Amino acid sequence: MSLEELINNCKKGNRKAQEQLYRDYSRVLFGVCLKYSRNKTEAEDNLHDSFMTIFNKIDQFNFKGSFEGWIKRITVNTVLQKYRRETNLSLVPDNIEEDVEIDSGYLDISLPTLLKYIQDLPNKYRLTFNMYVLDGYSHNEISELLGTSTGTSKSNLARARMILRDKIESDMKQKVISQSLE
Amino acid sequence: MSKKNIDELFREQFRDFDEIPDEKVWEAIENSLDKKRSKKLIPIWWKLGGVAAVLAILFYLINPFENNNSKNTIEVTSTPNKTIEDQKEDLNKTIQTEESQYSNSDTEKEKIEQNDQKEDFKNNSSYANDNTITKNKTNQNGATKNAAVNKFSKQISNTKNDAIVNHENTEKDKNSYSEVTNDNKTNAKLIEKQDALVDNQIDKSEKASSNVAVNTKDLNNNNTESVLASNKEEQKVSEKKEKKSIFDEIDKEEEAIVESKNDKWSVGPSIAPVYFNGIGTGSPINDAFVRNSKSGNVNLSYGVSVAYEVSKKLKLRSGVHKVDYGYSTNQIEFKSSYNELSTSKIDNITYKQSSKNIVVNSQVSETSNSPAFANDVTGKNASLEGNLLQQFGYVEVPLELNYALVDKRFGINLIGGVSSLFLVNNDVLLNSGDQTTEIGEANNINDVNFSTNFGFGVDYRITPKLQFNVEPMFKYQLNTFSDTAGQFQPFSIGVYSGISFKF
Repeated sequence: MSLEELINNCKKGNRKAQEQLYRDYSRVLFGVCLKYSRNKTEAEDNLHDSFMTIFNKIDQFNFKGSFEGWIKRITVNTVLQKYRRETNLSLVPDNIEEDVEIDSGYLDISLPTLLKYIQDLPNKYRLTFNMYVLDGYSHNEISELLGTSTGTSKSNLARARMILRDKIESDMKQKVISQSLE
Repeated sequence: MSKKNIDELFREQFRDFDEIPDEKVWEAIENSLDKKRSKKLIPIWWKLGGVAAVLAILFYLINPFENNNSKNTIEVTSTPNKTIEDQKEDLNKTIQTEESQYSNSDTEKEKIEQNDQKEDFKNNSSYANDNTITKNKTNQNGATKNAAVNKFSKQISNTKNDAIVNHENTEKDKNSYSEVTNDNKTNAKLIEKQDALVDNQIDKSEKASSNVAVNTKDLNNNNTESVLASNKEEQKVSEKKEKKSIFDEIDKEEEAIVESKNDKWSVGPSIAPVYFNGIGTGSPINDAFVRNSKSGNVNLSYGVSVAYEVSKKLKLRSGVHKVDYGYSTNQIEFKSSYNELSTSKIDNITYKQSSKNIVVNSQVSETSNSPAFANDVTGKNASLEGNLLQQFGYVEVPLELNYALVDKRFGINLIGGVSSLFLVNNDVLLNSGDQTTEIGEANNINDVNFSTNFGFGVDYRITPKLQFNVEPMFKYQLNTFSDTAGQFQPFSIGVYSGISFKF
């Protein structure tokens, strides 16, 4: 079955087609959900909600542009809806660092650890960092989607980077100390 | 140590990042998809339910409390037992009764003529329904009296006072018995009769299809009634049509619903024969009738039931039902009297204007003191035997719990709960032979009444969405009457059957 057929069958509400679509795309979308959510359980919830939205709105997909891009955007939007309402408690930092760099010695950090670092970020930082750094959204798009100004978006991003760097560095130092003690 | 942009670090690591989600996520999605499908259907049901509820309220709550003609006709249609055909028969009897009561040299001749008319009436009765008024108008030429009677406004000024009041107040007067017994102006009427008969004959020759029957009715000042009756008939038919269309709609929707899978809500029509009676020997009407034999009547209850599945075993049920109760007190005799004797009145009945001089007595009660005989023109005792029939209709809103003892394809349930009953219809009728007249309404029936309900239900699942059920229910009424003579605790037994659709 071609993708087009699959989508058309999903539009008709065919359960088999819906399941096939899920099987084909749940891996990718679950990846998105894991990055944007605070933990695995919430990621699963968000994946569920995203697929519900996809099946609801699949009628609106008119085969213009990539289907994967379309369902990814739906997934991101679904997750944003959940977290953007939560207030951003942190103040805009005075010193915005545009480029946050870390020692290249820290580069062998495992993916799960990095994921954990992202998930531990406060909501708006996490969302902004994901969107800007990992998924290529512009500050304009981000500020629109999150209902903030581009300035806030930029400062959120900078704040996220600094938190991540501090986290990585402190963990690495911890690691070095424990290694030297052995 | 060289530095590296943190963005790069993450970007590299998360390129093509994906993860297989747990299988439970798909299961949850599947469940949600099922739910969504049935959720879509709910608004249809709410709409239909809303329409049904609004119609029920319109028909049974608003109309009966209004004081205009349309109200009367609608109320009549709620117990449309008598058709034009019946009326015709009653009418014929009335004519005969009258004739026998007032011996007159013209009687023989008249009788023959009237018989002719009866036949004509039969022939014309099929047209009578919608053409009565217009036909009457065609009789106007040369028949001034007829015209006068036929025209509503003129009639009011020409006919006897009590007859007018009678017509205005008549709600279910399906025959003219009370009038006949009350009518004393026979001579005048006989003259009228003859005039009318002559007119009729002229009409007959003029117009083959002219409605002679209406003229016959004029003799008893019943013309309005016939007009009213035909209106009632039309009303009835239109109401039926309306109702039918609603049920048709529901049926259609029901068909659409059958496909969807099981869920919490179910809804469906139900219908039941309902037997009404009382525990105890008292009378709901008067202590004079305590010793009389009484019998409950079987009437109809119908409506829409809604149920919500609280758990697998437990359902909460409600709905809206129209229910009629009937109760008759037998061994009654009644007659008309000239004077409105307050002593011979039954306290618990609010008499209609037209029925004020009917005296009702018990044949078996020792307290029966046979008050002043009717001063009948013929000197004959016009006392008639019969029974006193009480009819009251409610809109019932039950709230019941349904516990499933057996929850298989074939299920058995225990049902218990309460109902609120709102009085919408209240009549006291006198019944003698096949003649019925309304004498008024009971004033000791509470407008709002509660009942406790018990019963059990048997259901059969035809499809996962469609269920057929039969539920014998016992409903013990708590405060139907505000004042009864002796011990009288009403109850009703009904076997409710219906179909329910899950959504």
